[in-house]
Amino acid sequence: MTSSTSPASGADKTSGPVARFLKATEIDTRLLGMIGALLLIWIGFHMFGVIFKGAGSFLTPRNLWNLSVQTASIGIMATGMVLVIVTRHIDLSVGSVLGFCAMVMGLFQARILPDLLGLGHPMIWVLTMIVGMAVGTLIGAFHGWLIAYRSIPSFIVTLGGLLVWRGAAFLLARGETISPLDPTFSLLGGGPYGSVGAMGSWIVCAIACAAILWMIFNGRKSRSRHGFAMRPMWAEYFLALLGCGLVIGATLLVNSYPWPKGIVTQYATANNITVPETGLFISHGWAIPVLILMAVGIVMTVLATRTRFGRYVFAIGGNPDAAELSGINTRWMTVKIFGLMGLLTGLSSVVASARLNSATNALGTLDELYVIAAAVIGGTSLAGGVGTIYGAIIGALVMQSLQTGMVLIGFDAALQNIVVGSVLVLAVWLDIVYRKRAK
Amino acid sequence: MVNKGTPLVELKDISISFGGIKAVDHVSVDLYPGEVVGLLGHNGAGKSTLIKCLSGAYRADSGEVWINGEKVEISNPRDARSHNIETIYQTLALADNLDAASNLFLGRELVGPGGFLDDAAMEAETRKIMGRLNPNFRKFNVPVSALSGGQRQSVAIARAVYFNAKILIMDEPTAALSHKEIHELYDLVEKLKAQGKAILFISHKFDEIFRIADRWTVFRDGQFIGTGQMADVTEAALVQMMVGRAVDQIYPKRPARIGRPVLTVSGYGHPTEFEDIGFTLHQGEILGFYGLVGAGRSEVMQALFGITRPSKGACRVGDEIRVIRTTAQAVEAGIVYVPEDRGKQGAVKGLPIFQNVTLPSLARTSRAGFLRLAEEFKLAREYTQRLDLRAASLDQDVGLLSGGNQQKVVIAKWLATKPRVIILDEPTKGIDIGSKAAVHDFMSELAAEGLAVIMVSSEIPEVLGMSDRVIVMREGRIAAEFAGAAMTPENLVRAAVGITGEAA
Repeated sequence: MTSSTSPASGADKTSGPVARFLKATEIDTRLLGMIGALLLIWIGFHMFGVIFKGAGSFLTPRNLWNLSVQTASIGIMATGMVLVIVTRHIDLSVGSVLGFCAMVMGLFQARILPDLLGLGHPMIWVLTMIVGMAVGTLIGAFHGWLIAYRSIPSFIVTLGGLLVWRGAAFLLARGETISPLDPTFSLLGGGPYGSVGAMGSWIVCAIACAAILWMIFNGRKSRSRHGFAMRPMWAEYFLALLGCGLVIGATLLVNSYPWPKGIVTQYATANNITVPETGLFISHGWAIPVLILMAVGIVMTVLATRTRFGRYVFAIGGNPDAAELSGINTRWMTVKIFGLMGLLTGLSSVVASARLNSATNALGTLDELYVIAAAVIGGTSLAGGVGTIYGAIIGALVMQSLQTGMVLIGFDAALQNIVVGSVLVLAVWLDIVYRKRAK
Repeated sequence: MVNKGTPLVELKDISISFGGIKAVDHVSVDLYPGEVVGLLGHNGAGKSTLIKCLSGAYRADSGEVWINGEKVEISNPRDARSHNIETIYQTLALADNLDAASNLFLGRELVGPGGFLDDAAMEAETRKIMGRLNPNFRKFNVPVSALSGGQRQSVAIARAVYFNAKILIMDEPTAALSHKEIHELYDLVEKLKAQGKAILFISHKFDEIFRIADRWTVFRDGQFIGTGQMADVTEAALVQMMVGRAVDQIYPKRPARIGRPVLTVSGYGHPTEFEDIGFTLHQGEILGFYGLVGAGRSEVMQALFGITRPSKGACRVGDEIRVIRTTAQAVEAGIVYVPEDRGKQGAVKGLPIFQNVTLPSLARTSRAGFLRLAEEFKLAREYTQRLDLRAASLDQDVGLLSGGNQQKVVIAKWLATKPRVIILDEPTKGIDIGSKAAVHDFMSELAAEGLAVIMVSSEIPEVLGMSDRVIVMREGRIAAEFAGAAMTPENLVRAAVGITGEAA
C-alpha cells in the first residue's frame, strides 16, 4: 500500500522522490491508501476468478456498473453518518428509518397519489420524493431533539429508533409488500432505463472535467491572490490530467456496458426500431442513483469543509465544551446534524426502494451497521473530530466490493459476514497505526 | 554539599520534538539520592516534556537515560515503574470512582487464594502506609473524588512510596492544595528525602523551590540553561535565567482613562451560588474580583457569559438592557470570557490555530454560510501577532502548542470578536513569571485601548497591582469594594474572610 511513502513528515530536500511528489501534488496519503486497498480487493477477486474459474468476472463493465449502483444507497447515508460520528454521536436507526420512509413513499405513490392525480401522473415521483425526504428529516430531527434537549444518549435514542421505526414500517401496511411503484420513480433506482445513456454520460463527463479544470484554475488564482504557497505548475497539470483521466475512463467503462438483449428487443419494439442481425448496442451509461451519490458527495464535502455549519461540526467534535463556550449553539447543531442524517436516509430510501421497484418493511435491515462501517473504514474516528466525506464513500465502495466479490466467487453468506467483520476491524487498526506514525 | 558517587538518574543529551518544533533540545540532567532538584522554567520551556520521557509517556528522539550507572530503555510507564520511577502528575492520575486502597494498588492488586481480590489486606496495607505518611488521613472507604486535593495527593504519593519508588517526579504538586496541605507536603518531601529518595520537583512558585529544593535546574525554550545549589543563588538570578532578560517591573499597570459605563449589573442572584450582585464597569477600567476560593466569583462571571442562568437581576451593556441566557447572546452583546480551565474549555485540539481563533467570528469572516479562508487567515494573523504567539504556522494543530501559547490562542479568539468586556478568570494561574508579565502587560494595553476588563484573581499582589478598583466577594455576596488608597492587602483580606469594621 503506501508504506513506501512513510517519511511523510518534514518533506524537505532530504526526502525521497515519492514524498516530494506527494507534497507537490498535495495528495492525501490516507486517500491513496484507501484507493490502494480498494484496487487490491478488486484485482484480488478478479485474479481469483482467472485462476480458479478460467475467467475473471470482477473487473468487467457489467460488474463494476452494478457495483456502483449497489454502493449508492449505503454511500449516501455514510456521508451523513460522518458528521454524526464526528460530533461524537452514533445513529443506529438509519436502516429502520430507511424502511419506514420506503413504506410511506410506497403507500403515497401507489395508493394515495393515483387517486388524487390519476395513475402515472408525472408529478407523482417528485411529490413522493419530497414526502419521503421530509419524513426522514423529521424523524432525524426528532431523534436529535431527544439527544440534545432531553440529554438522552444518542446510542439509546437511535437504538430505540431502530426498533420503533422497523415496527412502524410493518404497521403501515400490515407487512404487505407494495409493488410496483410509479414507473418514473423507479428510474431513480437505476437499471437500463434508469441510466442516462451514452450521450448523457458524455455530457456528465464534460461537465465534470470542466468543473475539475475550473477548480484547479480557480484554486491557483485564489492562492496567488492571497499569497499562499502554490503547487508547482507540473503538479497542477498532473492533477488536471489525473482528474479528467479518471472521469473519462469511468465514463468509457459505463458506456461499454450494453443493455441486455431482452431489454433491447423490448425497447426496439416499443419504438419501432428494427434490430440488425449483429444486435443493437445500447449503452447503459451512468446510472441515476450513482449520479445522485456523486451529487450528494460533492454537496456534503462543500458543507463539511467550506461552510460555517461544517466548521462547527468539527469544532464540536474536537472539544464540545470549548465549542459551546465559543458561542456555538451545540444543541441546535445536534438537531440539525441528525435532521440532515434523516434527510439523507430519506434520499437513500428513494434509491433503495426504486431499485427494487417495491417497498417492503424489511428494506434496509442491517444497513445501519454497513453505514457506520463505511464511515469508519473511511477514516472517521469514533472519538470524534475526525472524518471525511470522500473517505466514507470509498468506505462504502470497499464494503460493497467485498460483498459483491464474495458472491461472485461463491462464498456462502456466513463466510461473507466473517470477512466483512474482519475487514472492518483491520481497517480501523491500520488507520490507528497510520495516525500514530503520522504524529 | 557536594554530590558524590554515581547519580541515581542521568538524562544525557535528550532531544524531543513535536511537529518539527524542538520541545527539548539536547538537555542533560542528573539526580542524586537524597536530593530534591527543583526544575524551573517558563510554560513551554520543556520541563513537562522532559519528565514525561523519564516516566515513559514519551520517547526521546535522541539521547540516553542512565539509572544507577547503567543505560536503560524506558519506552512505557511500566518500564519506568520497573526502574522504581514514580510520577505524581499535575492533574493527579487517580481513578475517581475508586477508594484510596483500590487506587493505591491499581494495576498491582493483592490477590488471595483462588485469584480473588484481597480487599481486606489492601485496606490494611493502605492504612499502615497512610498512617506513616499522613496520620490525619481518615477517608479510606469513600471514592477519591470525595477527597480534597491534598488528600488525593497523599494517596498518589503513598502509592509511590509503598511500591518502593526511588525516584519521584512531582509536577507542580502544590497547584491544587490549600495552604495547610502545602506545608504537610513539605514535611512529607523532607521525610522521603531522609529515606534517600531522589525527587524531581517542578514548580512555578519560588518560595516553594527555596523552601524545599537542594539544587535548581533552569530550562528556557527547550534548552538547558544552568544548574547549581540553592544556597548559592538568588530569586532575581533565577528569574533572570528563566526569562532571559531582567524583569524590572512586574505589574506594568498604566494609568487608565476611565470612560463611560459599559456594563451595569444589578440585583443578580442565583438560587445556590450568589445573591444581590451589582456593579458598574467602565471603559478602560480593570476591575479586580478578589475572594477566597468558593466565594462565587467564577459563578457570577459564568452567569454574565450565559453559561449558567441567573434567577433574577438585570444586566445592561452600553445603553441596552440585555438578557443573556446563552454564550452566543453574551458574545453578541460584546462580553467574552476566558475560562480558568483552559485545557478543557479553551482550545479545540485537532483544529488548526487559525480555525480556533476564528471560531466565534465566523459570522463575520464567512459569506452566506460559506467560509472564506483568506479572511480567516487575515483575522487570525492579526490577533496572533498582537499576542506574540510563537508557532510554526497558523495551520498547525493547536494541540501541539504549549499551555501558555494555547492560552494566547484562546485570548486571540475572543479579541477577534471585538468585545467590549473581557472577563479573565485567573489569567495567570499556573503560568510562570515571564508569561505572567506578558499577560499583565497585555491587559494594561487592552484597557488603554478602551476595553473594559474584569479580572478574577486569588493573588493579592496581582489584584492590587493591576486593578483600578477591586470588588471583594464572600459567600456569594459582594462584601466590599475598594479603590485608590483603600486598596491594601489588609482591607482585601479582612473583607474576604468577613472581619467587620473598617481598617485604615
